[in-house]
Amino acid sequence: MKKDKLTESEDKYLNGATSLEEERLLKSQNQEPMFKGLNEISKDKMDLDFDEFMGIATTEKEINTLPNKKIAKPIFWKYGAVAMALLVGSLFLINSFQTENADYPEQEKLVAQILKAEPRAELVPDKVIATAEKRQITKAKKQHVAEKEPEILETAQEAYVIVNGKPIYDEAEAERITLSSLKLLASNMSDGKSAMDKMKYISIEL
Amino acid sequence: MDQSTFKNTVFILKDKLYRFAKSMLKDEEDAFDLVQEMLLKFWQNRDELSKVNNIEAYAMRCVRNEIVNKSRHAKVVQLFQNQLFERVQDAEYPAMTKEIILKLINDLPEKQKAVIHLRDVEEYEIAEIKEVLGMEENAIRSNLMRARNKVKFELQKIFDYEKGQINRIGR
Repeated sequence: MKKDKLTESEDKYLNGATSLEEERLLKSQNQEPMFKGLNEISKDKMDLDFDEFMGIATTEKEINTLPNKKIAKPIFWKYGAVAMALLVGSLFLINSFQTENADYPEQEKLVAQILKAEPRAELVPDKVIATAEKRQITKAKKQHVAEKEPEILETAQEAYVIVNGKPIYDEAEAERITLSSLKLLASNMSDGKSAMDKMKYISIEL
Repeated sequence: MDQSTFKNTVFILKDKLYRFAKSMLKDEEDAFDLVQEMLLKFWQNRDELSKVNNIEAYAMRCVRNEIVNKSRHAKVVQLFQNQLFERVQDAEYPAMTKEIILKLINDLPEKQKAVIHLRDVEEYEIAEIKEVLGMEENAIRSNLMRARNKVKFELQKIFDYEKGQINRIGR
């Protein structure tokens, strides 16, 4: 009779229709390997002590915090290095720009001295003459246009030459600036030539 | 949440979490590592954990989700399955009954595996299983029925075979 009841409970169990109480009773009374095995499984324990766990948790925390510091330092130094490089670069650029500007007036003075010594008429470059002629043609054209359009007459009548991006209205002044520029170019060319002459003394061995 | 509260509310669940992980993962070491990892996460987020109503269901759900992610490493799972199968084959009957049942549970589909473990090992009420797995009651019952029948059938097959072998040697 007891066996029949157990078999009936087992069938009910296999159909998933038993209550927890019935299942507990079945597991404790039934000698079937399945219930024995399930009972054994439910007794399995994790071999981890709380103190041991807290030790792991503390170590884990230290490990997690250490790399952050290691990562933070190189990033800081990278930013610092980039900032330094930019600062040094910008200082170098400013310095070289100032040096160029400082050199230019001296060379211009030199050109001015040369200009005083030489007669102006001989040194007028063809390009400036050509530009002046062109401006005169432009002036004539503007005068022709002015006949048709009287409202722009006043502004169009003034002739000028653009030297180094600036309009120069005085022809003599334009000539002087152009000439000084050419002298500067000649001076730089002669400097370059003398530097090239020094190449004779360089020996290369392979 | 202080250390003492954590110990009494979360750490106390370690055996249940471990058994659940073991039945789902097939490898004891993996299960141990996973549960330890989860416990560490719970400890690190203990303040958030104190806001959870049912910590046990929450913890089981976390373990299950973690296992589902880990189970995607099919190669590792397959490798251990083969190893376990060899161990079961070499095992002395019936000393490995627990291991055989664990293997049979492991081989079940995901839902059946979780349901049979929570009910037959952890003795959860259907409502609790519903909370952990987020399944309907009918689905839980039908999965439980299929899982139990399959384990029972496979176990019976193994035991019948073993008995046959013993009888043959006895003659």
